[in-house]
Amino acid sequence: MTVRRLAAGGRIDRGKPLSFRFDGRSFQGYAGDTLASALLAAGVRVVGRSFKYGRPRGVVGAGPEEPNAIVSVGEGASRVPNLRATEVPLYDGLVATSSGADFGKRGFGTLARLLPTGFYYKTFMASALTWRWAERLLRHHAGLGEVPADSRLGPDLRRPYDKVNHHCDVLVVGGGPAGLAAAVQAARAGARVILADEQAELGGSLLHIDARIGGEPAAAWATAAVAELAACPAATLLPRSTVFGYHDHNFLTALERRVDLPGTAAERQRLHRIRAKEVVLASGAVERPLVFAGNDLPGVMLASAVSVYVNRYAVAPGERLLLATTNDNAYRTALDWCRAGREVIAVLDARPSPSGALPEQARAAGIAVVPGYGLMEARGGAGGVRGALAVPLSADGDALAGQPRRFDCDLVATAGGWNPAIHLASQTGAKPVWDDTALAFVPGPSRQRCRSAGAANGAWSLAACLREGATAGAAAAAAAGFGNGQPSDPPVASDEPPEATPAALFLMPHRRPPSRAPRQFVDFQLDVTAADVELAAREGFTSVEHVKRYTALGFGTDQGKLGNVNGIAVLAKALGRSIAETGTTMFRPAYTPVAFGAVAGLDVDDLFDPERRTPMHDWHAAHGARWENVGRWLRPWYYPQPGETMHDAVRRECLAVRQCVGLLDASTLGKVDIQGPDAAEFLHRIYTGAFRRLGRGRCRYGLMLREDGTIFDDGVTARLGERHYLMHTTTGNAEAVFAWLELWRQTEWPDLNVHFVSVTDHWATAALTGPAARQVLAAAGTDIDLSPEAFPFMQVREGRVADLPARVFRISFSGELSFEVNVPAQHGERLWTALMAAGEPFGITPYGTETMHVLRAEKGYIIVGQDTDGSMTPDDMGLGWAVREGKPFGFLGDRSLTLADHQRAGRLQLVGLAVEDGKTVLPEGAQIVAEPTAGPAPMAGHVTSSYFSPILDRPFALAMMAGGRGRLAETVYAPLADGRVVAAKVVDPVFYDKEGERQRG
Amino acid sequence: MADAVAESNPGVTARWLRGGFAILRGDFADGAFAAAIEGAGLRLPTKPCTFVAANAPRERRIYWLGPDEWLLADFGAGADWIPPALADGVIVDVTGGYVAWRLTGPRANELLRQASSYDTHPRAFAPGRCAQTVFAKITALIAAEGNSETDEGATFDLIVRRSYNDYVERYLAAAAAEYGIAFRAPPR
Repeated sequence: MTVRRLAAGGRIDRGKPLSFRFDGRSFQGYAGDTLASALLAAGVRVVGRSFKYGRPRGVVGAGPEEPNAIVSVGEGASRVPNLRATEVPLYDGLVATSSGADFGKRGFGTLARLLPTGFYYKTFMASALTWRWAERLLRHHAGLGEVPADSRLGPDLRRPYDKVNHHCDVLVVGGGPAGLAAAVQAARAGARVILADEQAELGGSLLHIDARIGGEPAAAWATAAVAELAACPAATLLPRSTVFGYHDHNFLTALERRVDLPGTAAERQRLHRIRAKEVVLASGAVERPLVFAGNDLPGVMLASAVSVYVNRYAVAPGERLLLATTNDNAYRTALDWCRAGREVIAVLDARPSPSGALPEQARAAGIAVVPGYGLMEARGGAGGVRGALAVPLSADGDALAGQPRRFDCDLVATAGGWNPAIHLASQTGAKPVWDDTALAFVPGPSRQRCRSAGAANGAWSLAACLREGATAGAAAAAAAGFGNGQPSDPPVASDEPPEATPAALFLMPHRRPPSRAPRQFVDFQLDVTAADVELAAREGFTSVEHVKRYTALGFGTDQGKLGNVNGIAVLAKALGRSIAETGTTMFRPAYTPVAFGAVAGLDVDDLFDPERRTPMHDWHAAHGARWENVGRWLRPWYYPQPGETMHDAVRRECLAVRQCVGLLDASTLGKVDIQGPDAAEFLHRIYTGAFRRLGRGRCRYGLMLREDGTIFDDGVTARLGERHYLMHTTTGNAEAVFAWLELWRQTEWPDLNVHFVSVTDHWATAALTGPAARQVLAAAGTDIDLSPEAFPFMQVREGRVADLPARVFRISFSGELSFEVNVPAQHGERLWTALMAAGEPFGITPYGTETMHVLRAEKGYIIVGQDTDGSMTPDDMGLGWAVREGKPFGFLGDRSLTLADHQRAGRLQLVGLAVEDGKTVLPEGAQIVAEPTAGPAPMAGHVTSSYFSPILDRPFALAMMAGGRGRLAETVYAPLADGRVVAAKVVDPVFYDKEGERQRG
Repeated sequence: MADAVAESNPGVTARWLRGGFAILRGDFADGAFAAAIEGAGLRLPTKPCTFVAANAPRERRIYWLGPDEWLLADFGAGADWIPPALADGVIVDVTGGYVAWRLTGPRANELLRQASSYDTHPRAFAPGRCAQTVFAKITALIAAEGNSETDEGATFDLIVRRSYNDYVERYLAAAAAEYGIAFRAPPR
């Protein structure tokens, strides 16, 4: 293997050798290298295989356009697939593998012949069965690398992705001459500036072109400009950051590849979310390759890429260069190659008489310039290009004008002009416009607050790039409110040789037509040839968007950065139209591929969704609680003791509460502090019950309806003071209820003087429940008189419990004697442990939400959202008693209760079901039918809550049944999914203590 | 290696500010409420998204939350703190409802921007400003105690609902893993 590293020059640090592995082999490069430059320096020519034909491929470009050198970097969790080796900064210990390494050696082999253009569509149309077979094959082979299975990195389990938000006045995309000039001007005007560039080193083409700015070398000017920006506190530099998406409202996203972080050596990525007042798109241009037979051989590269490797990375990717060009610009590459001490075999210039300054310099340097010649075919083998056939071209460049000449060479560079990187501009909705002078698509009128500058705008000379950049930077700053819009001390290019008119040539003619010639690749990544595009045109495709989808031209992860315009030119010619008439496809995010991990950022695993914890969470965890998610809360579900099943634990907890005493963490209930002179009036309107006359220290069950009369929420509200109330809401509905209260106060009843404060998080609530609750509370120590006479059911008292400031509510969701003790959350765990200690002699049992559900269902208490589904009225749920006859001002939903549908017979009504076999617990959601048939039958209702009752020692259920209250004692049936049909008797929904004596005790 | 750096020289220090919290609600245009506020010796910020600070005898902050809503924070107050009484309007003790973190250090601004899309640049979020905004996936109040373009560090207060605090701590630790975060929680 030949070492291609030049002895001197370049921007690499020869004092910092770095070792890395590629496809299992070890190599060495230097700090400042990219993976691509290090591989070329090591003489690696083949970096991958093509997707369809399995052809060996080499590095073509030096930037985001690279179609072949697609690699996965890292191992295990740190693996990042689908990266371009030209954009991967080298670091010590880097491990990379080429994409599709196993499959790619074969490609589709001989099968490829059976995969013509439009294969997907043709097989679709042929037969659905064929596609089913073909899809499996394609899916197996498709893709550019593997997604890591883990989301953490290294021994410290770092997360490889995160996100950062930015706001700025001016975002400059691209750090080349135009971008640097723009950023400097905007920063000088005082604007907050962000400069993002995809390369590790800012400067773009300034880092490799032989040019001078203000008399000094271009690279030195770039260094000074970067230093000026770095010293400006209002400027942020983002190297190695590709702006890949331009979204609405000047919101842009950039992906930063981070390799120099301490800790693990692996690459990490950061998604930058940038909101910019003004945007300057200075994203540069990508050189357009020429299309000719055999143009995909390793060793066929872009002319500008050869210059980048020689000048910036001190790598000569060959010995003998043959250069084919349509313009003056590419002569710089020939001159660079000469300066590197390598041989230029010839420059084939498609123009009949190249005579510009650069061609003259080349001739003076002894380079053979062959005018009027094009490159017909590259020849070589698996190891790469070994020679080429050049032909004299006709005047219009479309035909051969003589016999081919053979040149021996090991490197072919082609230059067909430049394509501005208009992707981001296009993403704003600006339709690209073909410019006959620039011979390229340039951005159309912008739809957002952005402007393009420099090569991204079709300006090719350094002088024009600097001028446009400085002007755009100053103008953008002014538009954002900084400066007068005039550039201050703008940079000027010195002694730039003028360039003569280029030729418009895309597909080089061959002595055989494209369909018979060796493959002339237009799109390397998806193996689309000129013949494929012509075939699409012959088959009737005329829209460029259709041809793209039919041939897959530009469908790869490179989005056709190299091939699109050539493909469009081939299509235009086949259709007998101009390129302007043919137009280009629209570009969409992402400009370069982005891993899903980067979009997810830190919001994975235990940070995926926030969990709310109660003040007693740690106690529950320490006592083996199993958890249930309720809304966003984590609540104890049940507390299994060693060897207990869930059924055992719930049975034990239920019996403890019914027969002795239990303790429930009820902190999650929504709590709203309501105060003001009109608080009573407000509650009277928002609830169905009579709240105007609720006495101080008393509680009342309240039912909240929507305007349409259906149940929205329920809970107990207590009157704490003259103008002071506390409302309880259901756990999952707390935020919605709070918003509902504010909505009505702010928009409909602004005349009511009442204020709400959410105190859900402030209070820790321990519900002490069971016949022994009073003794336990007394034992815990309280200054509240707990006697039934002094503190009856449905009242509230304030005082001290266990020496903590407390509110105690005598309300019950279980039907048992119950004291819900509230203390400020910071005292929650102390209250809990004090009550547990005081209850120990009584055998106090902590219980979870499952037991709570069983106990409330035994009492026929509904849960809004479980037993109701948003269409139930109070009467449906047997809650007519909670609805007052509202006069003079009714309550929300009052009028709707008289709707015909709300009053019709046969509505679903809440009933109880007693399962006749005394064993089967009906599944919740089971359908109820009137006859014991397994087949189709009219549905009579469905089960909403179903449990085994330990105290009754039998299963029971709550159900919504059509006309249910009129069907008591009827036997109905629940056909189950497993084929069983379970008989149950319709009963009253209150299964336990119908008189309600226990809770009043 | 990174952890050793983080231990000795964390990019951010997060200090738990214990104290008392209360929500005030009232109509400032209403003379009675304004008089009640004055009578209680309080000064309310009336400019949206700002706070008023007093530092003696303890650090007291009153944050503007809405046209008729403020959060009073009495940092350093003991467990028996009770909010000042108001002759008019509403004041509700919510001490148990919030957790406040003071974030300081050279990476404090970056840490905030990792979690929030609010513009915390010194030019937009000068000292004395506060905002209720999205923090990771929850709502939080952030306040700029110190924030300048020339200064290395910045000081922000981050006030979240107590039930979310565990999530917030985990999020801060994950976001700051690269440059380190030191949590300091003084005993009650």
